[in-house]
Amino acid sequence: MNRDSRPLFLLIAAAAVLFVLFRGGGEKTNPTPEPPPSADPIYVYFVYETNEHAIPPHVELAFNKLNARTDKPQTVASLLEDVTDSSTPLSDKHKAVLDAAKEFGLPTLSIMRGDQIESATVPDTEEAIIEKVLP
Amino acid sequence: MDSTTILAPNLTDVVLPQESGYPEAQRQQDTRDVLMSVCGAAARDFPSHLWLTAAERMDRCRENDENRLWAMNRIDRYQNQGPGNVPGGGQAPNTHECTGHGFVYNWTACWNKMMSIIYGDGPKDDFRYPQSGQQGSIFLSPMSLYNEANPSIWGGAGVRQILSIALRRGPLPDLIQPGGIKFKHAMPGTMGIGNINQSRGAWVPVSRMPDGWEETGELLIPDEVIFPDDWEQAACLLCHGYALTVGRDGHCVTYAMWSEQRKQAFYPDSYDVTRVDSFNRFRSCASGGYCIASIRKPADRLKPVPDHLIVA
Repeated sequence: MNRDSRPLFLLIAAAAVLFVLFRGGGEKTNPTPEPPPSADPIYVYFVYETNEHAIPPHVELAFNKLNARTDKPQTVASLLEDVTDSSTPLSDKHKAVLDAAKEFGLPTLSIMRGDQIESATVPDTEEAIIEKVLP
Repeated sequence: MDSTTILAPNLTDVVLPQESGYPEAQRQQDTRDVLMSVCGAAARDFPSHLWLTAAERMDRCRENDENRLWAMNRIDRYQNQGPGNVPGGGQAPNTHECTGHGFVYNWTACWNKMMSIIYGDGPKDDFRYPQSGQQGSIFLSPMSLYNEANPSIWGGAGVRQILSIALRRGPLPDLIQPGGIKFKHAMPGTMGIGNINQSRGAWVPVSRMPDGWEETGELLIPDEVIFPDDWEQAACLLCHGYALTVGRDGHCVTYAMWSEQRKQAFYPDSYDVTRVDSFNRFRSCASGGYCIASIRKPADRLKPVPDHLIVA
């Protein structure tokens, strides 16, 4: 680069920096807005049958932590016992969760996001359960 | 408090000097077979998968202490059926409602276990957990069961009577609720002194319960009740975080924590205090106890009954 072209180069470089800054190329100056958190809670269930399954302590601990969260989306975790052999009426929501869980095979970790129900094998650790609910 | 806590001698193996509501004649009729029969299809034998060896129970005690997973840690208030001076004047009597209070402690432990909420310190005198109102805990009325079990008010009731009533038509909520929710069908908790979490009031016979109360009661009926066959099965249930209600020595209590090392069982008594029974007493009554394992589940934990059963 010869001495005469140096000011031109500096001018072009400065313009490029300004372009990037004002166009939004830097996260700090113009962060991409995150989508608003869903207003719908995430419902989490340990679905089991009393006569066949114990409730693992790590599930109880994970569920307690999920219920204690104050961040959005809200997480609501609870136990859901298979009551299909009793006269107990079930809400439509719980019936849908129970049906899906039984098809998957109990005991099950069931996660309900909106109308979507995911049935999964119960993870082995408290952290893995929380990670499964809040990836 | 945890299972390693050593309580004072005056809180150990307490046989109440006053009548609390479980006379010997009742105890003789509350056999395991009778209790199971009054629960009908809800009765369950001890599930074999809940069996723990002594060594496993020891480990589980440590784990439950560390993580606050006892039934005691699901119980978020004391109840008080005892006598006392009523603020503003008057005297609350020493009631005979203990079988009703025992049931409500057991129900509470199960309900909050199902809702997956841990109350780290268990019941505390003159204290209400903020989480109780935020996470759907319900305060029930022991009087709402006892009033049918013994319409003559005094003399107590059998465990089988309370269970039978609870399984047939359910209990009602207390007038005091942690979340400020007002149930359309609610009752005073006790004729005794009560406390900040349990309302006291005059006797309410079944005939004067709120109109249509059956609709609320049936939503709170236990779904499954387990009956241990011996003390080891009872200890296993406690180690799994369930509560066990028994009648013994003239009083009905609900065990909610077990020490495998010291072989003793702790219970929140219905006098604003936690007490403990040593092994011989626990062993003598454990096989006549019951454990509520599940309860009918509401669609929304913060709205345990439909809108029309809540007062706006």
